[in-house]
Amino acid sequence: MSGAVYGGDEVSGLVFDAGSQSFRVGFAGEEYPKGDIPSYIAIQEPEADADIEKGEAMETDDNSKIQNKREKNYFIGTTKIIVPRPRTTLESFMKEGLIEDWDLFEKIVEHAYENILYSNPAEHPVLFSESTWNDRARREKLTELMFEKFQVPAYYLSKNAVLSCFAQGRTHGLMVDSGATQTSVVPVFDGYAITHAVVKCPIGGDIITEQLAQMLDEQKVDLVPTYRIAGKEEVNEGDPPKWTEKKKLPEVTESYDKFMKKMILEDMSASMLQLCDTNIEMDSVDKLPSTPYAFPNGYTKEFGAERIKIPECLFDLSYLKSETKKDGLMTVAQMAATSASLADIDIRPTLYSNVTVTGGNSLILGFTERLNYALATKCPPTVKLRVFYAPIHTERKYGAWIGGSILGSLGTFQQMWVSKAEYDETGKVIVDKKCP
Amino acid sequence: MSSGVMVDPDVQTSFQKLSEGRKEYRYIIFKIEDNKVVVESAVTQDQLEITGDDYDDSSKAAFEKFVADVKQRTDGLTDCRYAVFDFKFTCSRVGAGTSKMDKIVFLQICPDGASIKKKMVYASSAAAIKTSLGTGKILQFQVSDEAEMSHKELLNKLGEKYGDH
Repeated sequence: MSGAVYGGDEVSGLVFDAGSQSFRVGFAGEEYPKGDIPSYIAIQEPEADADIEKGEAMETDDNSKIQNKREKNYFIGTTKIIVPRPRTTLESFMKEGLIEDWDLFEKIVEHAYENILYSNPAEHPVLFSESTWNDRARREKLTELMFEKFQVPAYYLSKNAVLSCFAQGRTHGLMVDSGATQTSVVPVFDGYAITHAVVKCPIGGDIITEQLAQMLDEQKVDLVPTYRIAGKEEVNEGDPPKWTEKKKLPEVTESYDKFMKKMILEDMSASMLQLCDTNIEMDSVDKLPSTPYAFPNGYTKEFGAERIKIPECLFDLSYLKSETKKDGLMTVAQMAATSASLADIDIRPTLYSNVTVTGGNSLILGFTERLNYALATKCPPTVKLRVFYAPIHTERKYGAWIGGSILGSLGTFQQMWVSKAEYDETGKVIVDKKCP
Repeated sequence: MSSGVMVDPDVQTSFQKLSEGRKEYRYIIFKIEDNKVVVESAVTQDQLEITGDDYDDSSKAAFEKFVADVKQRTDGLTDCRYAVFDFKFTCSRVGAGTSKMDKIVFLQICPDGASIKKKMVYASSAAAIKTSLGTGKILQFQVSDEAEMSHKELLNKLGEKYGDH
């Protein structure tokens, strides 16, 4: 088989795992991804014609620079996108776990090859992860893109739920993946994802940051993103902050401002939020020790009950403040129970005994314990419920990538790759045949 | 999706000695070595040196010896294995009274303490060995810690499936 030339132990494969928050890339066989690129890309619109003419008059000697100005500029990577720039909006290439904007996606893959992996695409086989609900058109398009545009020698597409399941040493399980834009539940049996029983809902990390923003708004806390701060002084807790605004800031867009604010909120949710083991009881809420949070502008505030009330919306929709649409939303536990009930009755006990939690949003303190509690009230009384999770945070966050990394590095996996020769012979439909 | 790991022909022949004819073996432990699933050890009834009747204690003594063997081979459950065990037990059924049962269980042992790489390799190769054994004859269990491999737990699950308590 022609694929045997590649993917052996000597030539390392690459593993790409695209999520709505970040795009994980790295070499197969390594423990963790080399790069965790934000899925958001900063797009700078070209200057208006009048401005360019003005610019031309000023810097006539620099021709190349002027030419560039007529095209859109793209900035990729954490350090690049946080720079304030005029006329720049931030956009993600992913939508609901699927690749939506192929031009942006192509740019981010190029960026990964050039600036993170420093490797030639034509030399390394590539293993991609995909959402379970990925459609046929997208699968084929991705295959076409990798072979035609990047000229990869071999390629494989694998379901992320299955990869995370295998990485836990399991072939069956109910995979609860709570990510930034959404949470999904995928039953996996005998190494195959049961696609008709997949349940997903746009409830995840973004909802929590939204709730946080609303809470700060109600408490009249002014959220100042880091890019506006030139300097700050230390103040006592609760005192109004003393900080100075950065001068000569370009006029930034709303989407940039929102993105920068979201970064603070994400940090807040990672450092202070926590879930109650059981349903919230109002009297115990007040006993919760409060934690101070220091904002970038020097303002420090103690947060108490809010710490558990905000993530509570993952398990109790009544905690979800208006604005966000509640219709059709489900809590994480409801999703898991629904998904299991859609699967065949014979495998339900197995699924309930192997509930596995992955995804960045599941890192909120107490998530797994709470899921166990909430699911216990929903599942049939006879089943033995067990909720598993990888003990190490990074393993939970990068579960699918790590699974892909190990699989891609196996010498025996070489016969599974779709090789360039096979692609040339059969065309893009080969992916439906070789990658279930 | 599978890892492409091959199964040694010995696996099938050994398994036949456990499942067919005189049922020579009581349990077999398999491992992955040099990209192949191979037989690590096959133990006969005589080697177990059990005096009592297996149906009386529902294979408890035999199973405990098997678990001890697995633990020793995996260095205290820090490595992965596959195993098949010939489970002899009694259970009560409506209309049939107590009946003696004889079922082969397949265990995919991927302990939490094993490295993620090992777990991934064993989980992604499970389909290959199961196909080679023939899934029709076996009952599958996945094990991630000692509690899931206890005699009581397995007997419960078998009872649920074949008995009616």
